[in-house]
Amino acid sequence: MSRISRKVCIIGDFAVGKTSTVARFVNNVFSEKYLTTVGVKIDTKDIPLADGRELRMVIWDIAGSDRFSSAEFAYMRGAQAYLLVADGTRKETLANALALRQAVQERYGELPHVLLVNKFDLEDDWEVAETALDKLRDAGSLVLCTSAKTGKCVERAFDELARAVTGAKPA
Amino acid sequence: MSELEKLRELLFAEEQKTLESIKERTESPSTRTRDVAEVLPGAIGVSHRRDPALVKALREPVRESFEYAVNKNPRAFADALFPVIGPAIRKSIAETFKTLVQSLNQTMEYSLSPKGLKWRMEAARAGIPLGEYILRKTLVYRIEQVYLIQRERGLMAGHVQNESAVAQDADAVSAMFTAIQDFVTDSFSPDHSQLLETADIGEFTVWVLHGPYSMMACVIRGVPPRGLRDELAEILERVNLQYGDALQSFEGDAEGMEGVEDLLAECLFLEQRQASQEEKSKGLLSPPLKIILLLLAAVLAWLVVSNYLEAKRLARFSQAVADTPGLVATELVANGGQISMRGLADPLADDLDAVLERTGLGNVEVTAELDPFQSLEPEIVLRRARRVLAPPPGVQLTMQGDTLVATGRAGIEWRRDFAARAPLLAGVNRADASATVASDEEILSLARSALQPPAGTVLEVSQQVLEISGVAPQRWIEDIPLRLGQVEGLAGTETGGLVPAEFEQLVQRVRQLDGRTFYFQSGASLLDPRNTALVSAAARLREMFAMADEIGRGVDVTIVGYADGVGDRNANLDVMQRRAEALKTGFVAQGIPADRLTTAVAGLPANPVADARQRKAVLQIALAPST
Repeated sequence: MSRISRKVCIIGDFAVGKTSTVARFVNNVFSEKYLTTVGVKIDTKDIPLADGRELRMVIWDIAGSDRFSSAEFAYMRGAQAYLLVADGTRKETLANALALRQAVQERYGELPHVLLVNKFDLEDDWEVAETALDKLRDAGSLVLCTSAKTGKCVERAFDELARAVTGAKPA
Repeated sequence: MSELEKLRELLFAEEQKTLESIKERTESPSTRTRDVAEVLPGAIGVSHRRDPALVKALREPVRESFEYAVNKNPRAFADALFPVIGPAIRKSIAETFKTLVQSLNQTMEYSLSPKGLKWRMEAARAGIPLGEYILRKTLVYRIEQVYLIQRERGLMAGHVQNESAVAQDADAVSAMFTAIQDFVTDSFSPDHSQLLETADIGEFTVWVLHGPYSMMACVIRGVPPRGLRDELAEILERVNLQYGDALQSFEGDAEGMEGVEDLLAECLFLEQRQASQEEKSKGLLSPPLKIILLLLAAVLAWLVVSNYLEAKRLARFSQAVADTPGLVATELVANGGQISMRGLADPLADDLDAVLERTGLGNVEVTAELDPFQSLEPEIVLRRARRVLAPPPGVQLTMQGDTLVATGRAGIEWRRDFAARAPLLAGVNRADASATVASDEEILSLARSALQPPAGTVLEVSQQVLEISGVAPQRWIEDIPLRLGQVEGLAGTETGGLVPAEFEQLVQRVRQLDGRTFYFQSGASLLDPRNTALVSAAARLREMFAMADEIGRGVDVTIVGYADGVGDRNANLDVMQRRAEALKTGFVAQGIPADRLTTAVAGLPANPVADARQRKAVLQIALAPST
């Protein structure tokens, strides 16, 4: 059984729940303090593929900030896909995520990605209009509303990424 | 209020208020304090950033305040320091002990071992401190893991690890390492061109070797030697040569990277090879055990050698004892440098010190329990004989079988003593002094007393040969051999110069009678009619014959007749013959046997003259040569 690996990044604003969203679904290798020290934390996730191969996703959880510094941006280098995370309870995070996407595209070109609008469990505080999301979907983006708390759609997000980076369906 | 005042109030009422307010603030201490308090932190910050004057100014007051505060309330400071001081002290102590133990270990291991001495010499030769040299030589390292990481994506392209290494998520580690690499480069390399090459983490060292598209991170336990880096670089070069293209376009697929891990594993083998060499050189035995074994071997060798030497010493001593006459060992035991002996010793045998000296063994202590006995060994028998018989100088004693033989010049007394006592000695069956020689004086004295020589004889001894000369009775002469038979030490007897007394008398009688003349008248009748001379002569002749007969000598008696020659020759010859015959007849008549007398005629004189004195017959007597 052949094994392949792919570099995937998670980016998004500060406190949008990047780390907690994936925490339940990945192999936590390093402590979260790397995020505050080095600015990045690596996790891995093994996804068996339908064609028999084994995909190891190397997930770069890049520390969020209002603006990506050049150093943090550098961690994106060589990424083969990314998860773009926004907080559904803070409208501006979606805007920032899109701006970030724009910046990544400018720097690294068009890369497979999934936009996660997080904290879907806090429906009462939900600020992002569904219409806006539909608009994005219409523009070709894969947008998923996720909940770090319930784990909603997170697995799917990874499956989508796996499909995108390998061209094969997850098993 | 004047117009001017009004105008001023109109124009400057606000400013006036402000001025009033300012005045009030500047004059009120409490207000001033508040104002200063408001700006003080900012002011200190600005001042501190601008120049160090503030720090200088505050140094002393702060120090004094601190001192005051500590003195006033030390407990607060102790409480504050407590959380940090404990771990700090523990860490310091632990470090110190670790260093001490390491240093002790190294000292123990290297200070006295052959390797240690060798290093000491090599360090001295290389001119570097011994500590540094030992450090270089004792670097023990082991490559635990090797990561081949594609640089751009931080994806792991290959990973090998030692069996004992703790397995980690190699993909995650590779990515994180790449992140850290980037972080370090971005943080500390101003132009982002410098790369992280080494990281030390406790007992591990991570070496990062950079290729065009990849980096090889080697996790090494211990301190690797510098040369190792070159070998690792060489492996990375081969990786790039073989997988350069694949690495450049590496996206996480194993395709194109097949076999890379075998190549990476060479790094581990590299380490293993060195480790195995180290192991081999180290051998099965630890240095202290080797030293103990060496010591044991040395002790064993010493025991073997000393036993061998002891046995050899004992054998040598035993042989020396056996070779020593009068000494018999019944038990010999060697014990270290000591030899104890039990046995028998003749009082005349050499003492043990002399025996020991002959062996040449040096300082060996011999203790002996020896019982006395009489040895019959020839050497001891001889010693005994010498001691008992006290041979005079010039006498040698030897043993021939069981016979004690004396040779040399020995007195008769001693010889008698020898003959009497020697056979009584233990080990002597017979005594033989026949080969001894007596002195000439002693022989002479003995001979004299044995021979009782008559007056007229002379005795001399020279070279044990007795010479007898002079005149002596025949009987005595004949007895000489018999008498000398008792004289010991006599080599021979010379009696050539000894004349028998009887012969001497005969010779005198012959001299008396020889030439006796008897005169005749003319013709052949004797002048003396009574013949008294004839009778006397006849008597003497008879005696002479008797004497001659006695000693067995012949005497030729010839009667020669003479004549004066005047006249006829034949008549003369005839008268000569008649005169000789007449005398013979006269003697025969006197009892002389006729056959003992012969007659002869003298020759005719050349000038015959008538002379009555020629009418004679003369006796001519000669001793017959002895037969």
